[in-house]
Amino acid sequence: MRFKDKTYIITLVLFLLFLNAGIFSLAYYTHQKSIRAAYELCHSEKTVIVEAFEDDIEHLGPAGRKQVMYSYCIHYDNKDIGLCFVSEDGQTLYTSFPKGLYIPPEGQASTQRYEDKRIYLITEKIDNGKYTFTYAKDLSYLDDDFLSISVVFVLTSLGASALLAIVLFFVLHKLSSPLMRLREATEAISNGDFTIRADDSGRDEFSLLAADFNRMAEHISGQMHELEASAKIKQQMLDNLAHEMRTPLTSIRGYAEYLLNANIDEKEKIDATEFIIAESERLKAIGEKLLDDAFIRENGIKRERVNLSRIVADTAKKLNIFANNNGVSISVNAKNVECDCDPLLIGMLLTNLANNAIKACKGNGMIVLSCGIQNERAFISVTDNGVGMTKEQLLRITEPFYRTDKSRAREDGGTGLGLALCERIAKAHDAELTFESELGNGTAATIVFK
Amino acid sequence: MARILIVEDERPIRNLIQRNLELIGHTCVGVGDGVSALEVMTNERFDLMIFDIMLPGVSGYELIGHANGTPTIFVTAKEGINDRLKGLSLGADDYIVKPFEIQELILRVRAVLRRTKKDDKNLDFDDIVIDFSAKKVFKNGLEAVLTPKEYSLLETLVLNRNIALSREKLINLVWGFDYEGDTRTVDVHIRQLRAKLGLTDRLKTLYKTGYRFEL
Repeated sequence: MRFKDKTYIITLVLFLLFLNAGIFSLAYYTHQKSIRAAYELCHSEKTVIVEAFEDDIEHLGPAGRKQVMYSYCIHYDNKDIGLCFVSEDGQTLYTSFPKGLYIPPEGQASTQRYEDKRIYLITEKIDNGKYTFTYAKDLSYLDDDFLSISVVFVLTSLGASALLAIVLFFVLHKLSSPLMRLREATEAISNGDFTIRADDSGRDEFSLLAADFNRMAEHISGQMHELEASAKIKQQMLDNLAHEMRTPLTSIRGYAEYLLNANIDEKEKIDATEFIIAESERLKAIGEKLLDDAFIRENGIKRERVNLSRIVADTAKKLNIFANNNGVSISVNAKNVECDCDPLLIGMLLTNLANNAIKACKGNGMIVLSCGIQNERAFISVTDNGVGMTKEQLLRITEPFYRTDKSRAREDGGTGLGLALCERIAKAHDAELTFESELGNGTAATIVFK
Repeated sequence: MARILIVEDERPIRNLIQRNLELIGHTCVGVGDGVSALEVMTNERFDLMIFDIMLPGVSGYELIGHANGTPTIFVTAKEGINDRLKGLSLGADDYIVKPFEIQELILRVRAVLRRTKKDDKNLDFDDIVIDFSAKKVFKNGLEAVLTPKEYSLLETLVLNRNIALSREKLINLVWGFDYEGDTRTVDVHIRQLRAKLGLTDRLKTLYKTGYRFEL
């Protein structure tokens, strides 16, 4: 059963219970009060009759008493009042009572049921105890009044109940509608529609709940978007990888077939074989870079206290021949800086950056490898005076397989994974890898350690 | 034979396509980016153009807009059905996805040239003339009597000249995929061709590889 329906039934039942209890206790109280008023009226009427009777007896004397009793009985019988006079010796002198009516003892008043009528009787001694006088009045109208009042009350109660039932229904519907809307929103979201938001206007608990709910939905949809984005990046990376591997494979297979089937001379055979070797190298390089990446991702880094200047010097030495062959000179500007890092990986990162720097230079190139402390943080930087990059290129260089100059980078044997790997190494060290570049004016890459 | 433009930024692949097409007698011009492709296209006439789609400078999709009715084939790594549809709807005559077999490329190039009537009507060498449209072979001006299978085997070998074809490949190309006979059938037909046309020098048997028509 819904909360709304439960509330409706409970409220309706309780309200009707209290309403009717109230109405009927009110009716009962009114009834009792009118009975008491009627009794008092009877007593005062009786007193008036007794005083008038005693007065008349005094004037007329005992001889006329029967006449007086008779006239009183006749007179009051017309007013629905019965009278009874009994002598001292118990003889009924005169009465307008029907037979069977019980006369209460002296000095008492009582109510009797007689033929469906409510009779009120008062008995007392009058005329100095000479007679026992009984006054009886038909008070049936009280019952009739009570009945008609009851009917009015019942009808009123029924009307009120019906009205209440209707009004309560709509009021509860209105009050619970935010809850229903919240439920609809929940359902929509559970069906995967994360754009739905609940109505949180107003300031009651439902609105607060709706606002909380919306915050939750916002959070979830944000996370969903992040997941989707990262899945998309992964998919893109996979597509790119497929393309990157397919190209050398096409060449390798094609040249192998060419060697096998074509009618060619020795020189062409050597050319074809060289292509096969170069393309295999490229595949190998891609595989190694991916393995390095996976290794760092899975195993993390092994930090040890090292002097960064040693890594810088080693890298410069390692790349010197390659740089000279490309007409590029490497200079080192290293200060002694101790740093907790994985020397192998930082060496790999630096080699990658320096390699890129060498490739970016076209003869007469100058590369500076430096390390030191800036703002109390250790840093390594690689600066070149090569071709530089545009802002758009800078934004994308750490994407896997992104190349600023596609055809040339491939000729150089680049895999397009170098900077993505650098970024991975920097992240693993909690270090920041930043690039500054201007087209035609060279590039500076900096790693700042925490 | 046909003049073919090859636009492909991957040097090894461009080279591979060019060498193979030149082997079978075509003349090729190869360029590595879209901009130089446009330059070559405005200055020279070609019978067929082969474009990669993802090119530096100007993409293959744009290049095809400047084809001026020259037959075009896309050779690309974009293998999605939408990419194929886009390529073909732009007016390409064929769409080849990398990695591809050279044999496939040669067949498709031949098919496009035949469709656009840019293929050779006949070929003559030594004392032999092959009339491709009439499917006839003349030796010393006299028609040589060849069975249909012998003719089509000769045609296949000649169109793939300088490239060895294995017996299995020849069975597929000449007899069809559903042929159930064994590969010695090829040897028998080769022997017949050699005898009828005196092709012992031109039609070489290669160890473990198959047969090659050399010209």
